[in-house]
Amino acid sequence: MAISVDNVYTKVLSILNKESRGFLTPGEFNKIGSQVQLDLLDKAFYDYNRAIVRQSAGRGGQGYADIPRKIQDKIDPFYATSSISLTSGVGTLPTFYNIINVSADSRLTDVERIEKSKLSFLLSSPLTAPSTTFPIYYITGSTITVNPSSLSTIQMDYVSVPADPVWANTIDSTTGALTFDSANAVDFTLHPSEEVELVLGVLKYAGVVIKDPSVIQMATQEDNIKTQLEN
Amino acid sequence: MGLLGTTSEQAYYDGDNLGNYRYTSLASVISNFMVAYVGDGKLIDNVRKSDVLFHAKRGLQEFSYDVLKTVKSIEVELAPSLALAMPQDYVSYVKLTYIGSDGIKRIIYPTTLTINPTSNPAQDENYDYFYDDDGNVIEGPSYTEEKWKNYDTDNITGNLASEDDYYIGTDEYLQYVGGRRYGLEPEHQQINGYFTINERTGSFNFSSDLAGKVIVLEYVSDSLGTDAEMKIHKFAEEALYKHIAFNVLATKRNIPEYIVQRYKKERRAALRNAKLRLSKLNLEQMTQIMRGKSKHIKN
Repeated sequence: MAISVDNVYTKVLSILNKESRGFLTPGEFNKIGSQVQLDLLDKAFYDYNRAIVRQSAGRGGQGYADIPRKIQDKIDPFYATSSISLTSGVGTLPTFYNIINVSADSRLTDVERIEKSKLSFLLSSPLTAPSTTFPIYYITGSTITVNPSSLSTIQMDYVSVPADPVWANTIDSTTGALTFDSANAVDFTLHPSEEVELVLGVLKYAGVVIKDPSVIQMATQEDNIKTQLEN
Repeated sequence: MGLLGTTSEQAYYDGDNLGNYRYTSLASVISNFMVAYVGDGKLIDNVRKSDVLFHAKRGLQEFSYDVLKTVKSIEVELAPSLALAMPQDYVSYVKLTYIGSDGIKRIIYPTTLTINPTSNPAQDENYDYFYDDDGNVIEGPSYTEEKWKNYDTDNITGNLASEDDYYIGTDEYLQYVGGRRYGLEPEHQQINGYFTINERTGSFNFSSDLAGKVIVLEYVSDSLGTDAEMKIHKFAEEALYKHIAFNVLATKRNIPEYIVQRYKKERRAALRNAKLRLSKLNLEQMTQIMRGKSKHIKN
């Protein structure tokens, strides 16, 4: 369910080379690809929110018209889960982009994230004080603190930070030609439906790299048309 | 899967959860609420679980007072101090009785004849208070309580040995305060004893005739004493969902007032339903009681 890094690189190069605008090296492509992938992932959250608001206003649909579900599908490839061991209620977080849910007791007990500013009120209120049935957590840097501290393990479902795409290659020692090395390549984690936006996004940054405003303009124009269609 | 889950009948009958199917735990109520009432496209799009927990617990407390009838009882032999400490989860009493040798309970009534002062400052010969090193008043024994403890309540009830004693005796209360034989207050015409609530010590104080008797205190708690208590009867489960929904919507910004009012009505209706269901109105029992209406002489 990933997007082939070779597909994207080939498409980008074909568009750039069409009018001999320039060449994007694999190294540049990898960096730009990583940036665009993060952009698109971040955008998916905002798109999802907009789609939900539209649906709540009665402007949604079912089946193929179910846009929130389509956007969910775009985020789902980044879904990850991790078991975190706690020492005195404190554990180390995996690298995450967005936390979906934290649970304990084999996922049967939800652990609620709280605002640190409300911690003392929650702890001192007899009605809301955390317990093993209703535990809470807060995050400080890369650590998670769970209360009550008697919990020893939690499960965390989260949106992971995508791995950087790599268009790996081998160089022909005679001709100097680059050949795609699929064994060492890392594909884009994005959903296949994001391929068009991914290519356009790479092109926008590529226009900056090769200093060709017409590429940026073209890619932006295409992107705008796509956005208008979606909305 | 059905609500019975994978618990076999043998496991149920051998276990210590008999009759527990009647209840839904508070944790389940909150999970159900978060699934069914909260989410995208619903009236409550987002709410903190701690808020739901607060409203659920408050609901459980309120329901305990006037819907659930979760009356607890404790049986204790009354000590010579004539005081019975309020239980740890005591909120209010329903009834105090003492148990006779026949096992029948006899109601003990509260009395206003005496009082349990909330403060008894110790005084010197000039009637000044004693203070401790921090400047706080030192409390002494209560004269009122001491006298009441030693008082023979037969003098009030008229439960004296003979007719002569009854009319003439040394009965101060009957003669001077209570208005002799025919001027007695009916509320004092009982021999089951009296109790008062001592707010200072957090206990019930009893009249001297109850010393050594087995007392049963029936009281109301708020269902939040222990985790195991935090459950709601299935007859009132819907009312608790409506209670939480109403309170969440009422405290949320930008919710149209008509929605809040709708949930307020739904809560009230569900609560009324729960009260009716839990009142256990039984036609056969009522018929049996009503048969007594034509009996002229009752004991």
